[in-house]
Amino acid sequence: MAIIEVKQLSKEFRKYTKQPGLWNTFKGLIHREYKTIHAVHEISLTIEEGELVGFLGPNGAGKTTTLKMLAGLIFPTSGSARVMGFVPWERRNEFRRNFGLVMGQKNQLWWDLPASESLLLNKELYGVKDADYKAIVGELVALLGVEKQLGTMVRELSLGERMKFELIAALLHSPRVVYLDEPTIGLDVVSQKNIREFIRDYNQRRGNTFILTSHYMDDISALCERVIIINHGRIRYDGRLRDIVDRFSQWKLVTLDCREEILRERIERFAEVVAYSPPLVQLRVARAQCSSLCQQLMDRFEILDLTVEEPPIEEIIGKIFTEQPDDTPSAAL
Amino acid sequence: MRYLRLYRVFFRNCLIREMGFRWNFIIRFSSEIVWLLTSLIWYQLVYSYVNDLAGWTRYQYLFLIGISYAIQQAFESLLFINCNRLGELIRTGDLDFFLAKPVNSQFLVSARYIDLGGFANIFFGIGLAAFAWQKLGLPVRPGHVAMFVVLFANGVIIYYVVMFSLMCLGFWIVRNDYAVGFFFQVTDLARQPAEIYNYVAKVFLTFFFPMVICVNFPANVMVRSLSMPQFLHGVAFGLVLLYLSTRIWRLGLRAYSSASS
Amino acid sequence: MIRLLRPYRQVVSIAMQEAMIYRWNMFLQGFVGLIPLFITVMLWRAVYVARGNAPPMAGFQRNDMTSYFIYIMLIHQFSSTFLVDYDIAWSIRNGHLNKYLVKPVQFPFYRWIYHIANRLVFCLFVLFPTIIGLGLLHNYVRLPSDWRHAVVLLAMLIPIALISYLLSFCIGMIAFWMLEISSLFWIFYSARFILSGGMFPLTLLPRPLEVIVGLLPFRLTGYFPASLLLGKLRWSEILDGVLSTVVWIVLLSLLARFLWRRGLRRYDAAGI
Repeated sequence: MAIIEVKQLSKEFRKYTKQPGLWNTFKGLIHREYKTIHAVHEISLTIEEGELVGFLGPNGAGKTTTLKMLAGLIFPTSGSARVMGFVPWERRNEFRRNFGLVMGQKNQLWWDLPASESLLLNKELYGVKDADYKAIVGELVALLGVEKQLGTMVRELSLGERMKFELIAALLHSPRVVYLDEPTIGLDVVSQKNIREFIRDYNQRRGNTFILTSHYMDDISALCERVIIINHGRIRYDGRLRDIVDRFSQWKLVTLDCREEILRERIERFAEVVAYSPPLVQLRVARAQCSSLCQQLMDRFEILDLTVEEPPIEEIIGKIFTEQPDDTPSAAL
Repeated sequence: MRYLRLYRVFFRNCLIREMGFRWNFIIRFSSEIVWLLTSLIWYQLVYSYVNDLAGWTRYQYLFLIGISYAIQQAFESLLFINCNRLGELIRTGDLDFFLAKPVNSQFLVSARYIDLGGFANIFFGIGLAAFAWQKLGLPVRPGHVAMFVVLFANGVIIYYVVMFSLMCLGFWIVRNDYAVGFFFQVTDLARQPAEIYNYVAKVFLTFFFPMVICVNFPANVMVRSLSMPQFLHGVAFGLVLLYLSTRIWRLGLRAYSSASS
Repeated sequence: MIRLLRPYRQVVSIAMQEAMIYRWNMFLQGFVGLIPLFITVMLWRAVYVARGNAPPMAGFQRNDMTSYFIYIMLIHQFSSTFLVDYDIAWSIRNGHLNKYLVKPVQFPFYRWIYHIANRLVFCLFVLFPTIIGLGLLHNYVRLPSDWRHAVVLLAMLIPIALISYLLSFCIGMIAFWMLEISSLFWIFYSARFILSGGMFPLTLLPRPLEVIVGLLPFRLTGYFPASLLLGKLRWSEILDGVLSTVVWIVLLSLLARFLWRRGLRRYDAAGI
């Protein structure tokens, strides 16, 4: 049985619509108009133990709402879900003892106390034995390089250090399932890299299951083999990150480094020119014709170097994000 | 005058904003009224057992309640909510926005927002006082009314100076969370008829920490009696304290600019 | 049972540490809290002067009355849950509740333990100002005459604090249903203040009102313990008070549980 099973999960919210202007504001005192928002619409997915899955989607797409339901924080309007065999929103103690949550934009550490106190609190709340606690925290702290900061007040830690302690706090009870919501937000490049490597490492060694949401493409591409793209409350794509490129993009970028300056018109007869600054020329080539075209170009012109690239993944995903709700998810570029 | 026009803009913005939270407006309005009601409950209870408290007859005391409520609401709705934010502005550095504007910063910081729920309540207080006044059947003396208006404003100003100075402590002390609580206890002292205090307290509250001036003086001038020297004493204090507040503000700003990086 | 409480050892430690950070605030609060007591004593002194030789109201002599308010203040120092309702509501509104919902803890119980630990530190730091205040007002204090009353009171301290907490908790639950609730708390606070006897002893009310107020739990957090210490209650009334406390604890716990569950169904876990 998969560790996370979701069937037709939906969540609706009622929001009142406010019209601008003073007169409408007065009217609003008496009569309110409500709009139903389908934040999550019949989402179904399955996640096996040990996977590191990325939830991608623009703001307001429904990915955070889905995550909240899977964490047991809110009740769905309809549908079902099981995480480790439990119904999350029943919030059984057994369930909560086995999962961890890290929220990049909120902290669970006590602001005015040393980080170690917050960790101790979690130890007690989760019932981690003394010996296990020492070993696990010792290891995590060493891996993340924050031994010296254990006694520092949380408010005096840098953002990166704080995030590391948040991770430790969420992992010290060895949860089977971990949700990471924007874990690297606002961090500098080095910290981001550190945390990414840590998560990947941890997942590979421990084999626990991670769900990651992030706006940073680097997080997703570094960590997740599988991504689920959610937009307008529905799943737009569920599969391997690599395959997105294959499925959604039908062209490649070819960059030429020419010895001689080739006139633009001459190249344009072969393919669409995306960028032209001799001696470099960048072409957009249909996937199917790529190899034969490259051959032709090599024959025709003196080319020092030729590179073939996929279009940047952000672009592809961005296109998926900007689809309208009624588009079919398989719209090609 | 420019500042009046500016003030009108503040007022309109607050009106729109307030209306946005439907329940909030009603609740704020009623919560302050509840406070008035509790004073009235106390009043009703005590005067069912006595006829005069420390020399104040029942309607004189009621007048006092009405006026103290009105002054409190005037201060709270116009100035308090702004002073309250000062600590945060200093801490976060947002004070810079105010300092960068080509307007007197103390005015901006103190008068930026108006709490309309509280503002409406001023009229309740005045109404209550008017009711009590009418029961007393005293003649209307324009001179006294003028003095009353001056002393009313004076009371609001003294409240303001006390609160403002407390909040200015935020320039030097980071944690002055308790200033607000302290202030409310202090206004409690002002609301009582001065005659209940023992000698030491009375002198202290009239000449050193002049809370008695705020509410007792305007009430006295209308329903009991206030001598001219007392009137001048009250107004003088108000003006001096107002001046002091500008000096404290300047000092604070200097500390602020030299501290921020 | 012990195993259940083990995790809360650290909760107590953290709560106390957090409270200690505000120690100067608390110290100051101890002194400032004497001001309303001072005003109350002065006011009632004036009332008794105004009454002259008339018979004492509801059997309260002047020093009974002033002692009453002093006892109220002392009891409140331990059992008051001021701003707890506001804090709970705030946690709900801005999603801070989330970090408790995902952990294997029962938030209502957790919050109670946290509150008591906080409160103990508070009592410690207001001790000195309180003693000073009592010293200054010693002319107005009448000590309890019967030591047994004091014993009953000591036994009742925690139950009284629990009732106060449950009331605050239930009020805090409003945040699940309403958006802007800050002012509502003032209304509740004022109501609790009066109905618990904080403004005047409840026996001063006209008889019908007194009966109605007697049915409510609020008197148990103020009027009941203060009158107990003053020796104004017969043993039958004391017993009635103790039993009422137990009954109300049960009722309020049920209400709290009901509101908590229903509230969570509506919860939108804002700001994850």
